[in-house]
Amino acid sequence: MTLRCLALIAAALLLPGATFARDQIQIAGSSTVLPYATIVAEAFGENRGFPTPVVEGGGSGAGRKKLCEGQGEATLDIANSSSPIKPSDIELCRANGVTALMEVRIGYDGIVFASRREGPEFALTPELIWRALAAQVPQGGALVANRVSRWSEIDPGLPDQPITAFIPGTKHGSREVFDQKVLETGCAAAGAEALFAAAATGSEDEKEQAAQKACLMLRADGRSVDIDGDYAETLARVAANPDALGVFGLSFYENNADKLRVATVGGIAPTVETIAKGEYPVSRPLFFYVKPAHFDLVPGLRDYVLYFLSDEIAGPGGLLSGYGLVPDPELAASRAAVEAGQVLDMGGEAAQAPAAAPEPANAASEATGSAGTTDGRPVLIALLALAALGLAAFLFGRQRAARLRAAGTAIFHSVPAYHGALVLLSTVLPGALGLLAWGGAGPHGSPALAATATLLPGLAGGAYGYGRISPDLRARTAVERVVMAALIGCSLIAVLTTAGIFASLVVEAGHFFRLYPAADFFFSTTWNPQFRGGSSLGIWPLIWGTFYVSLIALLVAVPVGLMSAIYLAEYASKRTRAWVKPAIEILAGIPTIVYGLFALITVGPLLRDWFAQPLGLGSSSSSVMTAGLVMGIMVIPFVSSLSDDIINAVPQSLRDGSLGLGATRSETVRQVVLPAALPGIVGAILLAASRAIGETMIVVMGAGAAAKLSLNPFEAMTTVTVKIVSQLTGDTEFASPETLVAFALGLTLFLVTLGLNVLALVIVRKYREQYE
Amino acid sequence: MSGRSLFAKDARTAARNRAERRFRAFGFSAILLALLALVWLLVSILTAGAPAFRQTFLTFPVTLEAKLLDKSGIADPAALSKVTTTTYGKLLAKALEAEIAARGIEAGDMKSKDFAKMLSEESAATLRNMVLADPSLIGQTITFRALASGRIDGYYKGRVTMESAALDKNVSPAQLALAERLKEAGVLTITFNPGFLTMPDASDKRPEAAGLGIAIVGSFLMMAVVLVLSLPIGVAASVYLEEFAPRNRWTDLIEVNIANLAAVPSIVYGILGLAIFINFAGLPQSAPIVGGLVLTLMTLPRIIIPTRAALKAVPPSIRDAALGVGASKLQTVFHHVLPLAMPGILTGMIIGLAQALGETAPLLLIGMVAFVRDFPGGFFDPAAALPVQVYNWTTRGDPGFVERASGAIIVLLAFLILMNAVAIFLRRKFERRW
Repeated sequence: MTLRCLALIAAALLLPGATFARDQIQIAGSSTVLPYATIVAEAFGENRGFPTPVVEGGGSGAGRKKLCEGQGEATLDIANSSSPIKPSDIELCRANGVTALMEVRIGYDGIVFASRREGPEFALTPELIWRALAAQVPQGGALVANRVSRWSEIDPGLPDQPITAFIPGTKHGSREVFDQKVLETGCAAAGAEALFAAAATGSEDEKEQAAQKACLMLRADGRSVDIDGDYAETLARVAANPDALGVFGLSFYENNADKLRVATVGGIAPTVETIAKGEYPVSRPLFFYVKPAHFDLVPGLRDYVLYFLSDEIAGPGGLLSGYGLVPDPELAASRAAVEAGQVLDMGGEAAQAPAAAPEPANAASEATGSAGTTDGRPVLIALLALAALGLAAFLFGRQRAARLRAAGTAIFHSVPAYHGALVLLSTVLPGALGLLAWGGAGPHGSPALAATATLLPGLAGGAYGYGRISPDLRARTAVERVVMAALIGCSLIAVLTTAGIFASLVVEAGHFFRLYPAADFFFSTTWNPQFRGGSSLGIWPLIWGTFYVSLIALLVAVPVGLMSAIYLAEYASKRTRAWVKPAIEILAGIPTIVYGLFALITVGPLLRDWFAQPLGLGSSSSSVMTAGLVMGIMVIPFVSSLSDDIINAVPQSLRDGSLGLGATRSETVRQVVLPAALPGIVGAILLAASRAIGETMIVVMGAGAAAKLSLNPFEAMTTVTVKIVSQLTGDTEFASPETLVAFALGLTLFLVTLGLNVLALVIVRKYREQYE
Repeated sequence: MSGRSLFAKDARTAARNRAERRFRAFGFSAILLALLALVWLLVSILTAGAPAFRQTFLTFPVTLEAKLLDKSGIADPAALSKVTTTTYGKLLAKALEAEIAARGIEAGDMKSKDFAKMLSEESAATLRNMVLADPSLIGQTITFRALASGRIDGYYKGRVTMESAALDKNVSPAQLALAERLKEAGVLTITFNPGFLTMPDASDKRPEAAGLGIAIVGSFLMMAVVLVLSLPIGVAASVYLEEFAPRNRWTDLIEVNIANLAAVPSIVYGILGLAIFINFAGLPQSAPIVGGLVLTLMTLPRIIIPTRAALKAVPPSIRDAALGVGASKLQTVFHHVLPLAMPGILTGMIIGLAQALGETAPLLLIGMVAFVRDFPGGFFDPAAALPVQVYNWTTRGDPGFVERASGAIIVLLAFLILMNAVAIFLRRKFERRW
C-alpha cells in the first residue's frame, strides 16, 4: 500500500511537467453571455465538423483575467464579457505576452423589471424606481431618509402594494447597467443630484463624485434586496413573494413569460425590437474577446468566431434572437473586422493578427509554439515500463532469496519477500529519479528517451540489489526504513497543502491590501462594494453572519447528532443500528445544492409564515434561521456517525463496572461513557463546526446576500464564504479591490479556523485517555 | 433503616428510572428527527426529479429526399456534411406536417414553422448524424422517433398549461391541442428516457435533450483519482502520526495542520487548485485529473481524522502481543493494527468520498462547470461532474432544467447509496467491540 503511495506521488510530481495537446476551443467568462455561447457552440459542433467548444461561466472579470494569463495551448481562447475590457486587463495581457486581442460585439442584452404574473401591471420610469429604492430622497427641497413603504405613495398610478425589489448584486455586470441607466437617470430626473452635490463639501469634482455616489446608495431596510445568485434565484424569490419586483435579463424573462409580468419603462415594453431601436432605455452591449494568435493553434477557432457573427446566428431572426439576444445593427461590420484581422488598440506595439488565409507558420504561432506541445504519453509509458520492471525485480529477488535459503545452511535475517521488496526498491527508486531528471531537464524528446532515462538506472539499481542478496543482508530493516520514509512523506502532504493554500492566498491578499487599507478591512463594520470604486469592505458583518449561522446549525446538530449516536450505540438493537446509521449518513452525502434549494423553497417560506411574521420579526424568507436549520440537518451525521464510532470504542468493561455498581444505563452513559469518549466527541463536533463555517451553497440560497450586523435570526445575512465565491466569480475587473477582497477574506477565514483548531487540539490533548 | 422490601421502589429510584426513560426517549426522538428530515428531503427530491426520466417523443415516417440532402448525388461525405441541421429541421417539420395530414388529424391554422417548433432542435442533429453515419439512407423513407420540444414535454409533466401557453411565445395552445390529438393517434408517446443518463449536456434552447452522460463519466473519473490517491496516502499518514510519530513540536505542527485543513472551506481548495494545478503546473482546464487532485487534497484531512480515531481504538494489548512474539513495529501495524482498524477507516472513507462526490464549490473555480458536448477520452479531456451539472442546470433560464436538476440529484443519490451499500457490507463483516 505504501509502495503504491510512493509510486503515485512520483506520478503526481511528474505528470504536470508536460502539457497536453487539445483540439477543443476553450471559452469562459460572463454568465450573461454563457447561454448564447452554449447555443452557438452546440450548433457549431453539430454543423462544422469541429469538436464542440468547451464553454464556462465564472463571470466577466475572471474570464478576462484567464484570457490574459498568457498565450499557448494551456490558456483560454475566448473570454465572454458583459462589459468592455478594462485597462487593468490590457495591462495584465501585455505583461503576459498577449499582445493582440480582437474585440467582438455580439449584440445587446435588455434588462427588464418583472413581477408575478398574477399581480398588477407596473408602469415604471427610472425616477419612480429610484424614488422607491434610494436611501435618501428629496422632500420639500431637503433630503430625508426614504420611508416610503408602498408603490402607490410614490405615484397614484402604481399598484397599492408594499415595495420589495430584488436587484442584481454588485458582483453582476447587470448591476452596473442598473446603476447607470436607472439609478443615475432617475436621481437626476428627481432633481436629487443637485441636492446631493450641494450637501457635499470640497471642490466641484469632489462634490460631483459625492453626489454620484449618493445617487447610487440604496435603502438598507430590506425593501431593496441584492441577489448575488443568478436570475433563476431572483425568479424563485419573486415566485415566493407576491409583492416583489425582480430585475431579469430579457432572454430569461422571455423563457419564463408565463410566470412573470413585465413592467414598462417610460411607457415602452421591452422586446427585441424596442431595444434594437433604442426605445427601451435599459440595455447594454455584450462582447467576447479572442486571441488571434490562437487562430493557428486551435483548429476551428476562426471558423467559430465567424460562425458566431453570421446572420443565421446573431442576425435578426437568427438562432440567438430567438433566445432573446438583441441583434447588433453593425453585425456585418464586426464580421468584416474579424476577417480583416483588426485587433484592439492595446497601447503598446500591437502585433498584427494573421489576416485571412495566413501562411501556416507566422510570427504569432512561432511565439506560442515553443510553449511546449509535448504530451504526457512518454511519461506514462516510462512509468508503466518501470512498474513492470519493478514487479519483475520483486519476483526475481524473492525467488533468489528463497533458493539460497533452501540450498544453504546459513540462517537468513529476513524472509524472502523482504529481499524481493528490497530489490524492487533498488530498481524503482533510481528509475523514478532518472525520470525526474529527464523531466527536470525539460520534457523534450521521444518516448524512447524517457524510457531509457528511466529504465537504465532502474536496471542498474536492480542488478546491484539482486547481487547483494545474502543471509546477512538486513533486508527487512532496509525496506522498513524506506516504508517509514514514505509514511513520513505522506503525512507531510498536509503541510505542503497548507503551505500551498497560504502562498496562493497571501500573494493576492497582499495585492488587495496595497489597494485597500487593512485597518478599514479589519475594523470597519460596513460592507458595501461598489462598481466604480469607493467601496466599503469591512469584514465584521460577514464574520458575524458566519458565526451566527454556524451557531444555529450546531445548536441543531449537536443535540440531535449526539443523542442519536448514544441511542444507536447503547440502546438500539443490532438490526436497527445496521440500517439507521447508514440512513443518517446519507444526509452527509446529499449535495449542498439540494439543501440550498430545500432552504429556499420549503424551509424559508415555512419559517417566514409561521414564525417570523406572527412574531413580528420580519418578512424575509431567507434568514439566518433558515440557513442555520438546514445546515444543522446537513451536519447531523458528522456528529452522530463519528461519535457513534467513538462511543463504541469505549471498552465494555467500563460499562459493566458502572452497571454492576447499580447505575442505570443513562447514568452510565452520562457519567462514564461520555467522559471517556469526550475528546473524540469534541473532535466530531469540531468537524461539524468546520463544515458549518465553510458551507457555501446553503447560505447563498438560504441566508441571502445582505451583509448586516443584527441579532434578529429572522433577518437575511451573509457569510464570509458566500462573499468569497460571489466576489471571485463576479463581473468586476479582477485587479480591483472588489475582487481581490475574496483572497483577503479567504486568508482571514483560514487564520481564524487555524486559531480555533489549535485551541481545540490543546483541549483534546489535555483530556486524552487511553484504555486497556 | 426502614424495613422496606428491596422490590418496592423508593422515590429516588423511581426518579432515576424516570430519568432513564426520558433519556432513552430523547435518543429515540433524535433519531426520529434525523430520519424525518431525511425523508422530507428525499420525498421532495423524488417528486421533483422523477419526471426527468420520462420523455415525450413523436414517431413518424421521414423521407430523406436526395435533392435536399445530397445535391451532388454521389454521397460525397464532404458535400453531405455541408448540409446543416437547419435543412434537416425543415425536413422533419415537413414530414410531421405530412403525417398529420395523412392521418387526417385536425391541425387548425398552424404554419410549417409551428410544426417545427413542436420538435426539439436536437432531433434534427440526431437525424443528420444518422445520415452522415450511413449515407445509403438517403432517398429512403425511415420511421424516426423525434424528441418533442421542451414545452410540449412540459405540458405532459404539468409544467405547461393551456393558460401559460397563451402567454408563452415558445408554444401556443393550438400546438398543445394538436399534441393531445397526436397522442390519441399514437404518434406522440411518453416513454422512459435512457438518454437522460447517456446524452451530453445541451444548450438553453433544448432542455429536453440535456443528459448526464458526460457528468457521470467525469464524476467517475474524478472519484477514481480521489480513491486511488487519498486512500493509500491517507492511511499512510494516519499510521505514521498515530503509531510512529514522536510527540514533539514537528508532529504537533502536522496535527494542527491536518485538523485545520479539515476545517478549511472547500472553496479555498478551489483557489489552491487554480493556482497550483492550472496556473503553475499547466494542467488543462475542466479536466477530471485536476478536479480529482483538488478533491484529493480536500478529502485527505477528512479521511485522516477518522482513520486516526479508528487506529486509536485498537487496544494497546494487540500491539504488545505482536511485539512480544517478535514482530517489528511495522509488521505489528500492517499485520495486526491496520486490519483491525479497517471498519473504522472505511467509515471515514465513505464520508470523505461522499463529500467529494457531492462537492461543488471548489470545482467552480477550476472550470468543471463547463458546457461540454464531447465525451472525455481520459483524465485530461474536458468533462463535467454530477453536482456541478446540478448547479449548472439550476442557473439556466428554461424551467425545463429544474426537473433535470432534481433528476440529476436522484442519480447522484443512487451512486451514493450504492457506495454506501458496499461499504456497509464490508463494515458489517468486520466490525467488533473490544
